[in-house]
Amino acid sequence: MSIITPPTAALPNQLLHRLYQGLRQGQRRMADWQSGTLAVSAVPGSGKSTGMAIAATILLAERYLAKQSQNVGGWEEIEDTTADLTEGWSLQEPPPSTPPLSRLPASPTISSSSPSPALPSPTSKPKFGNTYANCPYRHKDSWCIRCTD
Amino acid sequence: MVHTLHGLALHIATRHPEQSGLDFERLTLVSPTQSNRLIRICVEQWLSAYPQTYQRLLEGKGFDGEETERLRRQSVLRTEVLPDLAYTVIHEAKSSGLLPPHLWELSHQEQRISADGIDYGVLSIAAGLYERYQVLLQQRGFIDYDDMILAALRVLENDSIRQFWQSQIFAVFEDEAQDSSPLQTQLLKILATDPNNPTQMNLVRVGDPNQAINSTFTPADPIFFSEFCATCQTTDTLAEMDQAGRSSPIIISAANFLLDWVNRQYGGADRTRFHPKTLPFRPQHIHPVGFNDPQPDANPDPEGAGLEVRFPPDVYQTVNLIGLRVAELLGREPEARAAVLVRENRQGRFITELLRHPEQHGIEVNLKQLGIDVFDVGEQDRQSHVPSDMLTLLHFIDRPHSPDYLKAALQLLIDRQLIPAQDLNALVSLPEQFLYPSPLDPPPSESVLQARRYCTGLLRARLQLPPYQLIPFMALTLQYEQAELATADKLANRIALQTFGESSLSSMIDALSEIVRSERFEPIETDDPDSRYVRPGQLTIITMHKAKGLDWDFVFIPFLHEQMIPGTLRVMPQTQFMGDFNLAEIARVQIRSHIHGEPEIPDPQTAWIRAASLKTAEEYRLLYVAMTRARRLLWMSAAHQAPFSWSKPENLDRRSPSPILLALVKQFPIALSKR
Repeated sequence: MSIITPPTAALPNQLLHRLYQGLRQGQRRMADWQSGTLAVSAVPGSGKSTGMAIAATILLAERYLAKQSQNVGGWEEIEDTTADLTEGWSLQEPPPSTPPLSRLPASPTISSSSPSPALPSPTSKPKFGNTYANCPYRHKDSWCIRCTD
Repeated sequence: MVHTLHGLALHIATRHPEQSGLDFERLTLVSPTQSNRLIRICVEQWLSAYPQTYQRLLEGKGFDGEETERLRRQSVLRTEVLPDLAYTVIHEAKSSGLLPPHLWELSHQEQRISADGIDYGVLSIAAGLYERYQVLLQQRGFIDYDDMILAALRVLENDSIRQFWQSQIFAVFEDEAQDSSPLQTQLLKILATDPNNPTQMNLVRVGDPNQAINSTFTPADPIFFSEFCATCQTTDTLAEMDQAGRSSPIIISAANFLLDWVNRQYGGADRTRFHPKTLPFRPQHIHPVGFNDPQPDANPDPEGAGLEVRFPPDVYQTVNLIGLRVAELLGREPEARAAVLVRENRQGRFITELLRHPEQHGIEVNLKQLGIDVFDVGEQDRQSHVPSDMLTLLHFIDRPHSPDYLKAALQLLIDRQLIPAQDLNALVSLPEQFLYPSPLDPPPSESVLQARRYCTGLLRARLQLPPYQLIPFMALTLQYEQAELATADKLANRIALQTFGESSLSSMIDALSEIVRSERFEPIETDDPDSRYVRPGQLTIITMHKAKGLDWDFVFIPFLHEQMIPGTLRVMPQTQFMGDFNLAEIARVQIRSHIHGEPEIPDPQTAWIRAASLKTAEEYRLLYVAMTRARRLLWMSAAHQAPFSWSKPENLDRRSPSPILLALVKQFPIALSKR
């Protein structure tokens, strides 16, 4: 019973692209976050709460889409895997002995040796395809929301 | 999911009652009034358990054994000093995970010799009070907010439960991280940890240490977030969101100037002694946004100079200047938003009174006649009516035949303009005939019929709805607006929690009566951008604390006197017999120094000085928050003649302006120019 309706392929990426392009530099650090710890020190009026809301939206959507591209199968499967993101709290009566549910696919870690620390290093399994030659994320997909062209 | 920290903790703790020990069949959340009562009891118990220490406190300085003075001191200790100490210490220690045994241990390390040679042993007094409080809490089946976090942490000690929750949570995003207590941070860190790899944590903490304005009266301590930032900086995982489009460039410059000035002034030579770890401000400047920023009208052009500083002859003239300037600005731009930010509610009341009755006080402008509403937020809070409305209706449906209750309920319906005004005495003298008339009774008028429909509807609800749905139903019946509805929901939740296990109409009435009788129930504020506080064309009067997170086109900050900002830690004259310090403040600093991992507990004298500098830093941060609320005009003032206490605003005498105001006009001479 997912509340997410099946999106068409292009639409969510256009939306995410627009959201991402509307973020300031500091806010993008939040939206680029993939895993690990991140401290965000925000001055008054810098769009802290907006940035956090958009960053969380992008994070959830990207993981959802990534999952979608792996599960070419029916929607049910996808809904199952997103359930723990969107509805994790509402699970009924968790038996304490339940083995931990596996997490979503391992995410790229932020590499400190990367030229720009804000950018996640390329993953062995690209999330998105590839058309942008200049994509700083070396994404191999026309979906990269972080590219400006 | 979006949770408050306490909501999250309660969620986890109640899911696993065996591990948490939180059983709501047995336990209730202690209300502030009940907590105050417990503190009074534990003070009494402490007095009889430690007569010698009590005697030492009583004698303090310069005691000649005179009986009236003894009685006076007893009263001060029993009703002010010790309850204050207990309250501070219990919250401070508990929210950091320190239990009474820890505090006892700490008290042995305390250096107990204060400069004037009086040996009080603040921490051992504190430990004795805290210990009794915990026992009382348990005996009476109460828990407090800190217990919720502690219970959640207890639950998460169980490996399989912890792994379950960790696997449910991919990542934790924390907002306002500068206000979190150590225990809350610990809870979030555990939840953000990867169950398969305990060294991996998915945790994003967002905050601004420079806007920490609760740290001197709550356990919130920005030092932890600052440390987290510093740690992240070493691993390049600190993001600085330092561009802001809210204000005109000159306002940003003024805020940055304040920050640098305070750090220079108060963070200099004394830093190692008083602030081993932090400056008053994190040295982070605000920068205007770049070209092509998506925010419309980012960093707008200033109104006039953008920064105006005035030194009027007295506080009446101050309000006059504000009134004239507001009339001019909102006359020109009726859709713009304006606010006066004050340090305390009594100042707000003073301003409102003058602006609403201009002719009586020599104010040259009548804002009301110009169509500008003066909205005093403090006044709204004082009139918080939701709990008493609900109580009125609950009393009525509990005993509908009581003429008093019926009358009160009908009056409320009239006040809310739901039924026409009418002579209620006639109706309430025969309640039965009014509510359930027999066929023989004379036909009522239309207005009586309307009143009857409401009343019988409420009575039907009593029969048909479960008790916890009564309050939301009554709120809808009264046609509350959004904020009132949210407040009613919050009230309903709180009462449901307090009466859990014995939910009935009478238990609800008991719980609600206590709320109405004894304490202020904080109403909900709407997050709606059109909310009452920032409504266009009105002048909002609001405290600096409440203004956090909001902004206005024109912001007025009057009464910036040295006595107010930075002010001093005052020792009330009645407690001065104990020495020139306050036991609660000393205990807070001593406990924090331990939590911060300092090698030794500071002695009372050092702790007191440090408390004073923490207070100074926080007052300036509060001013920084206030200044950064302004979009196009920041107007600040200090009057030559001002009252010492705002409870007597008519007693004027000479007051020095805050030193930052003088520094600002020196740096920005344009602020003094008349347009």
